[in-house]
Amino acid sequence: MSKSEKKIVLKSLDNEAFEVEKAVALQSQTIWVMCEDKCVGNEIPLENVTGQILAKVIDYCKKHAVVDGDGDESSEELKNWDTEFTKNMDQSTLFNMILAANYLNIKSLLNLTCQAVADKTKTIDEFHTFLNIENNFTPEEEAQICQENLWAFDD
Amino acid sequence: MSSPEKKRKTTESIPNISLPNDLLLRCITHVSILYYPTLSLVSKRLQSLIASSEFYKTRSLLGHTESCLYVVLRFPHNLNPCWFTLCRIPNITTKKKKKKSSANLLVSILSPNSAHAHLSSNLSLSWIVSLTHGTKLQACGGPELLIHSCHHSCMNWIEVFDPKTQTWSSLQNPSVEIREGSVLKSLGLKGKFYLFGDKIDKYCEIDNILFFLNCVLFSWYDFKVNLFGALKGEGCRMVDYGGKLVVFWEECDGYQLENLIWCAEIALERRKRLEI
Repeated sequence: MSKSEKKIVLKSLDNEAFEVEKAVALQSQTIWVMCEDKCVGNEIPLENVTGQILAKVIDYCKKHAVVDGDGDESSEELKNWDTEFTKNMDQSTLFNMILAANYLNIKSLLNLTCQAVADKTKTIDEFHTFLNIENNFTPEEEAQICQENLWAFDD
Repeated sequence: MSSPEKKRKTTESIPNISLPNDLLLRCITHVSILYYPTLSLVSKRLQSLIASSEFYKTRSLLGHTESCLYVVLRFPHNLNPCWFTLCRIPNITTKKKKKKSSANLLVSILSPNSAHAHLSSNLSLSWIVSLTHGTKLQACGGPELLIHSCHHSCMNWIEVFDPKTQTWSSLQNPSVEIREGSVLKSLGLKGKFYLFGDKIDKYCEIDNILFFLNCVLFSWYDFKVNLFGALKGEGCRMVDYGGKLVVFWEECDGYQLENLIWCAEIALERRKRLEI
């Protein structure tokens, strides 16, 4: 097999090109289908993903491809790597990662990033700010929900 | 002392993207069920999301099901049992309530029969007749049912609680024998089946450990290490909660005016006390 067949070029929305091993890229179901379906050549345009995000996605895929391949890293280590990977991502990066993982159809990455969002949101305020959800309850409605759930029971 | 570059970064990170519903849904399936009351206060969109059957279907599909704990309490002057479930208190900063960011609490579930006003008037519990559990209820699609049979002084009725829709309905004579005279029996259609004998000790087996109970003593016997243990307490009830043992017991003051219900979650060496 020639070198070019083992490599694949992913092109981001902002025309950044990444040359990666095919085994790395094929973790994405979307890319896998693209490769199976028709000969798109060695260059695959990914119109929904920016270079900045794609770089991170490739990092993730590389890490996971290596482990799946020769198993020289324990799942414990991989888990730690995953945690570190999402730990310091800000909200917009994380959201873009979720969107990218969804678009590229990489299930484990989607799970990881969704879990990261869930971990970062525990209070009502965090849900409002982090998930960018507006509180559209009137005070009366809010009071009613509280009443229904009887948090007043507390005192 | 922040550099202008840093400052720019923080303003940039002010969220201006939001996720489409299906992805938001996915994120929320990762949130523990303990936080659902918090979630329902976030926004209408979220409230309807977590109330949707699609949500539980997604949860189930992704394998994010959890065991839930349900408790039934009976209050004086109120024949109808009140149902509670364990959850985390939302941290409501806008309200003039004490902030309690890390407390788990039993909250009531809407039930057509329970008198909520009774509780919210801050009435102390003076006597608890029944306390039961749902066995390994899983929050997922499909009718996951909990059947609950009533105190013998009432007629033998069975009600079904569907955790998915959080609604109640009556069930006509299921193929389950209800023995009269028992204080309370409960069973789950899925998961383990528990039968509480009439006068005999109640028991519960988790992971090779047999927990049993008579009137005044809660004891356990570990088959693996042949250990024997005991805990004093009257009117204990216990339940297998996702592999952990949860024990409830009452504590009352000298005048019998006020009862506290304690609930301990015991996981191997770990103990957690939760006060109601």
